[in-house]
Amino acid sequence: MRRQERIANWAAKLSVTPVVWFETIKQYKERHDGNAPPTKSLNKIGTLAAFRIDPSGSRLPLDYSWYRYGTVAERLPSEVVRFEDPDSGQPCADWKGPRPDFQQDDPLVARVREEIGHVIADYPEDSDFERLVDEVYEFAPFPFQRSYRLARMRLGVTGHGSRFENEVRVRDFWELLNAALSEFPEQDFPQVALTVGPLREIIKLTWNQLPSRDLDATKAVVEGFWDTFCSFLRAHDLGHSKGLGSERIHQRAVEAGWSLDRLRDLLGDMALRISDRIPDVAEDATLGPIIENRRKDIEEQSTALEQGLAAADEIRRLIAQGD
Amino acid sequence: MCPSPLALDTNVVLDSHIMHWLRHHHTVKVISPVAYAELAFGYITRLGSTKSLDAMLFKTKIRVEQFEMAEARITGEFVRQLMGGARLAPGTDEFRRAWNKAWRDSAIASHAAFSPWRLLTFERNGFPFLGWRAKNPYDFKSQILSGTEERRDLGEEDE
Repeated sequence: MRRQERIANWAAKLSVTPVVWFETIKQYKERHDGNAPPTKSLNKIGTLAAFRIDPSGSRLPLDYSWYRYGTVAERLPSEVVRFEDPDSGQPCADWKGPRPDFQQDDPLVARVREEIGHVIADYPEDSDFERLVDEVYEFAPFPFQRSYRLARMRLGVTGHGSRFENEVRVRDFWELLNAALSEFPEQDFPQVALTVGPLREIIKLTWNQLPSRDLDATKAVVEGFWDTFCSFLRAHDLGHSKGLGSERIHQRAVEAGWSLDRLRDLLGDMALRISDRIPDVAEDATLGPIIENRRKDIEEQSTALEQGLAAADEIRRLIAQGD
Repeated sequence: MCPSPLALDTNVVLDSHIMHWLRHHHTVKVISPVAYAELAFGYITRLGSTKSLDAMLFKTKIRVEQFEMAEARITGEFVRQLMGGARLAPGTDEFRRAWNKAWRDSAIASHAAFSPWRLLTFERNGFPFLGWRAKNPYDFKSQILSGTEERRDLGEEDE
């Protein structure tokens, strides 16, 4: 195919992508008494329809990434306006402006309309949303995303209404977690892989070995790890659509680094907390160094805070002059 | 579910108790460049530089967020809402003071415009457009420690 022809084809495909978001909003509103979709529904319905039509993304190049709750749209048309629903407090999205331009007889447009209709018919009620997320996860690039989701579901932090919910409820969390961690894609995420050992040791203690199970600490660590993994995931080649700009990916990589810093602090705080109750933990080969590092870090933070806030009252008064 | 990301109002950064607590609350913490500018004014005036401010923000992992077109657009909308409700006569000193403050507050709040972001501020009334997501930091701390923080935006951790 000649270059110009290829460019023309690509441009035609790009012009179809706004139709995905336009049709998702339109058909969702038709199904829900005129109510605009929550952004999470918009994200999942639109990307699922695109996955069903074209899992490779070559015919329908929708910009999305994988994050903490499945897929998220990366670039929405300017006509998609976000607002907060006053009753539920949830962010929603509506289409304000003219409908997108496209060729009426374009077969891809017809296919998009049809598939969005199918997705909405398959998951017609808000209570079906988590089953929709189940199907979205079938397209996840790493099996770890699915297996770790099951472990999180067992803790009750996600997946209410999922088709896996009942099955997971009777399973042991520790086994689910280990099954998930055995699938962790170490080669793809070497920096995050370094935290898997400490994560496992800390949860072994909070879940199995403290005199009383510490559910809150377990949840905090499980979720902190998920946040960091997903931050790296969306900067990974397989964690986002092909057309995403390099600048955005770079920004995501920077954010992933910050997330890893937070996870290290969280693991350090948890290990410190456990060592108050089980002093031997401070001698542990995996957790000992983490405790030591966190202690040092807390000391440095205290010094920085002391110096940074030494003149806080006067600075506050100076700033208040501008009000 | 991960803890809500936090935008901090200027004075929150100057509160020792909250700053000490926040370093053990592991979530995204940002300040607006406008809040940083206010703080920089105070630090440079009083101490001659922002060195101790920068070190404090760096060590406690509070980052100065980018202010881009999206935030600028939201700021404009927030100012419109604030000034529309103020019912002041344009051109008066009172109007100019309110206008000046509205711009700064709106720019600071623009980073918390959407769920699941929260704005921690000692002046909750100054941010009516954020509704329940503008929180007094001491109330917020109590809610986190007691596990009662309101999560009406449950399930929106992807944004």
